[in-house]
Amino acid sequence: MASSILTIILFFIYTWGLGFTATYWLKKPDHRGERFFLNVGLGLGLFAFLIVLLNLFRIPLDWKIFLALSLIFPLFRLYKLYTLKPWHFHLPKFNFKLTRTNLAFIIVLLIFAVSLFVYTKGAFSYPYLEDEDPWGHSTGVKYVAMEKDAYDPVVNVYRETSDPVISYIDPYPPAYDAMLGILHQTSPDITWTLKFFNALIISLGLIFFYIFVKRFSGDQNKAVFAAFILAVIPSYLSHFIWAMALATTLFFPAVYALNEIKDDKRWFWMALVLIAAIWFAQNISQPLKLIFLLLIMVLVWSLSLAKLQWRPLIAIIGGTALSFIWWVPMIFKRGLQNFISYYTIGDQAEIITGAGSGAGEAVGSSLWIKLSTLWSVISNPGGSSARAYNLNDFFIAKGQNLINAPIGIGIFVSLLVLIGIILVLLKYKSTLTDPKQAWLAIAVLWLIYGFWAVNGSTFPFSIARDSFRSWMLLAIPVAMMAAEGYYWVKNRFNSKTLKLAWFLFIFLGVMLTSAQQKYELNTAIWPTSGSFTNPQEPFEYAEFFKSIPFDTKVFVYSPRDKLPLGLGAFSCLWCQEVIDFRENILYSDVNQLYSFLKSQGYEYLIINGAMDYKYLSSKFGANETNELLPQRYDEIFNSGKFTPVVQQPDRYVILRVD
Amino acid sequence: MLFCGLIRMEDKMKNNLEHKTENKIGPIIPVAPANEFFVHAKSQKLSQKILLYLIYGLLILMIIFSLMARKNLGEEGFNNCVQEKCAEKGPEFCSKFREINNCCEGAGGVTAQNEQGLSCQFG
Repeated sequence: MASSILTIILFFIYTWGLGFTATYWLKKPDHRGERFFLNVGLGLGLFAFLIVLLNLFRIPLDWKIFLALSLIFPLFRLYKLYTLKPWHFHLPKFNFKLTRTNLAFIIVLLIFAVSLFVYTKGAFSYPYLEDEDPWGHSTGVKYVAMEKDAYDPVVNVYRETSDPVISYIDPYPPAYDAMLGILHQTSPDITWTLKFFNALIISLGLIFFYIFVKRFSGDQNKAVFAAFILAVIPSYLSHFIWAMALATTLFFPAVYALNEIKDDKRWFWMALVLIAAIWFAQNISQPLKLIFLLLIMVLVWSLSLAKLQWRPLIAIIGGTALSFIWWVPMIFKRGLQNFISYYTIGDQAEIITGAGSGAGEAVGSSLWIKLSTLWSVISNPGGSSARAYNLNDFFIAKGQNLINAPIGIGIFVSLLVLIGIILVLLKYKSTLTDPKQAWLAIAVLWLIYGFWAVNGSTFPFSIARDSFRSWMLLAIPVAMMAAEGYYWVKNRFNSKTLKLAWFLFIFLGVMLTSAQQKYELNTAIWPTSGSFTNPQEPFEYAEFFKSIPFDTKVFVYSPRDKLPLGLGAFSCLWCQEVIDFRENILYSDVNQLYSFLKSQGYEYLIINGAMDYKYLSSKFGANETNELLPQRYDEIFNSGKFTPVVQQPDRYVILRVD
Repeated sequence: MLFCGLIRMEDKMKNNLEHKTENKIGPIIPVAPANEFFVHAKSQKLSQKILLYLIYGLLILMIIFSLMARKNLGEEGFNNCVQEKCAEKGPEFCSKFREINNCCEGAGGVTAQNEQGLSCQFG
């Protein structure tokens, strides 16, 4: 518990310290609270950036190094302040007044707190990690925490694949796993670390969003309302543990920094780093969409001011180029074609690189074919949950939803957005493109882009990859336009009573048609890995893992090392000895198994009939597995080298290695 | 203590900056007064006109696409969706529960199991 609290404090020191250091000379919001969280947001991006930079120079990703980097400048400033002008050094007076700005900020903090509560309540309502991806992230997190490295280990694997050992680092950009890995170095419970900090990052995003909308629109009331809408829209990020949480959250500080360049060119470097950080946070498709949103912003500024906004544009292009400090080593490591294969299907990689043979070569040599194939890769709306959407999917939010990328907006919010759009078109008409209203034009174009991206499988052609993973991006302009619609109607009323009635009507409507469904989805017990073959197993496994010390070495007979890793124990997924042993595990008798486990320091062995059969038969074939697996089990039970500690007849046995 | 000291220091920093840059950094000007419905346009630059037409054009396109998407609805939409998947990725792929369910939900139906296998029902 103490280490968890310490790690929360450390998280804020890393992020605030880095943000403070990088933007000390730049103008930030007047409000202390807003300035603090802006520093945290900017620091979060810098944290991600430094992870890749330090890793490039082979500097260990150790929490002490990040602590030093985040504190060195603030401590230096403090020292200077204290030594040069000691009479100026005293604690700030607590002269809190309930001003409109303070009240707005308190409401935003409340939205943040409720959001964090809901996300953590849901995440901790079951003891395991949900679905498959979070287990994959847990392996990356553990690897970075232990090895302090964000490049895949150099191991000899026995199958040809571009990503043989750890899925969410190398070539997958490592910032999310590495950041959680660094936090895990001081917070020994990996399940807690993943669940809590994922929820914290998403919830902090709401504050960053408020700060950016306030600065963007110049209206703090609209910013508060927009933050409230973003928090309650079901389609804006669930507590599902994946890198999307970081990439989407980093978008807000990046937009803020980009916006500031217009007034102060010194923000350029910050924007550059934050844009690179977005590329480091998640695999290509989502950053690509976020970068497209930023380009839309620059396009609107340039057209409305009738002057190319080259600084923000170069920040976007430069930030993308800067991200090559991650991508270039990946390409060199794998070769261009293998690298592209990682992101493509079929022969797309060959066509793009022109490496086809025979007929393919002729086809691959055409620039047009190459470009159209590249476009089809970038804009492929497919994915496991891609489908066409209809009106109900937008208007009627559902509590039963996709857990990784929930869909739906809710009827009240949808109506507010429609009011917002109609208002913008009717009220502002041609002045919509005036620089003063540029933020509205940007919000409308973001809305169009988000709507089109979501409808990649609905409309005749798609403009973004993974349509169902675009819902959270659509939620951003939806929140902005809903705020515009809400305040326009509110400002029509002259009477305070009518204004209050309108607020209550909308608040209750939004709570009932969006927030309730979001709460339902995010506090439900989510399913877990398909590795488990019985619904009780994940709970029983978690119970056992809770009873042993963190990082106890537990070997799962099937190649599911991610299960002990994700449940707080340890199995060296990336160790050559383990990889080698797994290669012939079915042909290894009990003596070989026992001596392997002892030599590697494993304390427990888990055998699970259905799970072992499922994974070993796919590797060794059904006949071989049917013949050898029962034989291996008999040997294990009769060897006297193992003591059963948990037994579920006909399902699984957990044995202590004696 | 560290945070407090530095927050104060940032305050001072900010005040200095504000003083130095007050003519350069202004707040973004809020939108039109609330009681004025139409904001009247001044003369527009060509680039602003392009932006406006771009927004209008894209909005109209979204409306057209949304109307066209009505063909995805109902039994016909479901059948077309499944046939497209079969033609694209083969019968094994298009007979998966996930794919049939995606097509069914996209057509506004509910996936059900009957004697013939999976079907899509429309209320």
